[in-house]
Amino acid sequence: MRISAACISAALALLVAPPAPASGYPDHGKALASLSPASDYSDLLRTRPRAISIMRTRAQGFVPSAELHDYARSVLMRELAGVSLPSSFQPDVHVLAAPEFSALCTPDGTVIVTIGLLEQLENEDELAFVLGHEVSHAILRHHDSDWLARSQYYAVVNAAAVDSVAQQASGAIGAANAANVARGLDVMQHLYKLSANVLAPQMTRGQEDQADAFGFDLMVRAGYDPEAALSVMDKLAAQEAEAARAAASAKAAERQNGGASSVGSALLGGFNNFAASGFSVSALTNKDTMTDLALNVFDAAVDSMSDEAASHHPAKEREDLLSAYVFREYRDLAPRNPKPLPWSPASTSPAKPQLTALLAHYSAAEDAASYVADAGASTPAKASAAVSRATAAPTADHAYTEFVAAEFYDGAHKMALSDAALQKAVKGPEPSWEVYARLINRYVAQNDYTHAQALMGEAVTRFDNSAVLLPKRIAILHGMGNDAEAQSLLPQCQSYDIRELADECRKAAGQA
Amino acid sequence: MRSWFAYAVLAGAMIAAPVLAEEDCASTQGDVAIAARTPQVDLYDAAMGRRVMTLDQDKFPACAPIVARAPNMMLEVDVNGTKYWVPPHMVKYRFAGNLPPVCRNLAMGSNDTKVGSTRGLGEGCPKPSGGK
Repeated sequence: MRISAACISAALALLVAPPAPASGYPDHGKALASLSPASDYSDLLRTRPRAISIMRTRAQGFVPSAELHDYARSVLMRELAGVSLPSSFQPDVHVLAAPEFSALCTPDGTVIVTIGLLEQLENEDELAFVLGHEVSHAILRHHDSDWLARSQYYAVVNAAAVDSVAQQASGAIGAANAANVARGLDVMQHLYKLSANVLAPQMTRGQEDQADAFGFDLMVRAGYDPEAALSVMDKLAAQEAEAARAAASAKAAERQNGGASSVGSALLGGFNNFAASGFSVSALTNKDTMTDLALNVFDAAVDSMSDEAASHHPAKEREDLLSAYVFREYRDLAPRNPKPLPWSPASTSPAKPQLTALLAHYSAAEDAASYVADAGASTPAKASAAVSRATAAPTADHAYTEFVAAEFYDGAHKMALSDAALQKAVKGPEPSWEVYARLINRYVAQNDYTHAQALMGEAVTRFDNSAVLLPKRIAILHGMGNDAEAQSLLPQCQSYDIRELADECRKAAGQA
Repeated sequence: MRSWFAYAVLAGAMIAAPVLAEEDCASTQGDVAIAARTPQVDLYDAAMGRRVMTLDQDKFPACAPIVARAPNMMLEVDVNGTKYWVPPHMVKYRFAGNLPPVCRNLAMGSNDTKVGSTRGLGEGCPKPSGGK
């Protein structure tokens, strides 16, 4: 009996025992105290042009604002001031024009934050935690050696899907089928979310913990309010809850439709291993199927996110781990007041007017995009006002704001205004690949290969001959009857070792 | 015959059930500090004030109502009839509805409720004109 009681006690202890400490946090002391950075980051710095090129072809490209860049970079540099790092470590920050709450770091130390993340932050201290966390991944050399290849893979697959949707949307204009345009935009929004949450190369749990601890040390050391880190975790948790709701909704829809489609079923098996999932762009020959696939991919991704915790570290768990670390290492720290963001009412920053307008316009563009994707989200008058606001200075020639304006005008059958918006975007300081692709599609639809080719020439230069462009480059050449040049690009496609890209290129060249 | 493990699981479930129910604080309306998160909880006299008391984890009341939040995220909590400020990392908390941590920084000028990809995160947030 005694043995049984002891066993029961032991089992109970196991049942109520707290989770094992995460390996990413130091057993004792602060993470920063045990930092041993690499002696040289030159090898990673050399990869920066490629990493930036890959990021530039994502979503709506970067936000072209020197003020925003300088501000975000100043926060990062404030955190790193005095940290012993070799001169070959040269961190930087870029803001991606995507509405999602997302951030990442390229291996060379370029932190990428989305405009959607900036919009949702409450103060500079929260931004400091995000930047500190992300740059820690680079300082600690967390990126796998195939990070660039995986990112490139995603960029290619994502661009192919988005372009297909764009072509569908542009085809829908003639048919006056606004629903298709809306659906296309909706898919694109889903793809952005997908990119941020699932497909983008991820770190392991231990690495995330390490970056949490180290990033936290950096922000506190720079004088920021430690509780801001918890607040960021709350926001992440809210994102995860939203993804879980989306997954539940997708599952319910699937059941209603009598089960998953074959593509969806294949993907549901484990989307985190996306490279081995059999997802093949080349298998899709019709635009509707591509759109369906994109939706299926999204659904499967959120499904795997909510069900599969192996590669995903829930924010609530991270929050608990971070809390334990704060309690252990920073308990005696006096409360601090957070620093206002330069676009908040309390700011006295000289950049406040410019940055306030910038974020307000991007926010307006997101509101307009929501209306385009779902007419029930707003009213035409409100959406029109949002477009007007979004496309005024200082964002009059920004790719994101003008692209949304073009979509809005498409839906309203105002093609001249739509074209003008795209032209303004493509002549702006940071046109996105999507803007180029949309305009090129329109030229091709009108058999205007001369303009299509000229625009593609610009794009090739702007995007550093990115792999993402290759299928469309080849398609234009093939359409112009210049098959020899089209064929000459096929080896380039194959050189990336991405099956889907090679298939798309062959298809664009008119090969089976 | 049941194994000792089965008994242990059953016993654990019996113990855990009320704990889990209580952890929800489902009967408590509004914002609530569900329980202590860290081994001890420090109580402050103001959001930017000084530490005036420390409670062991098991002494911190469950389902303590949060009566206010400070800009530095400190939570004003009703502890047995007295109000103190606690650092949020020391307690598990739940906010009802949309509060500032999940609101967009709408200093900028859009008066529309956020919809679409970030829907839910900004809904019900203070509008720019009114401040927080």
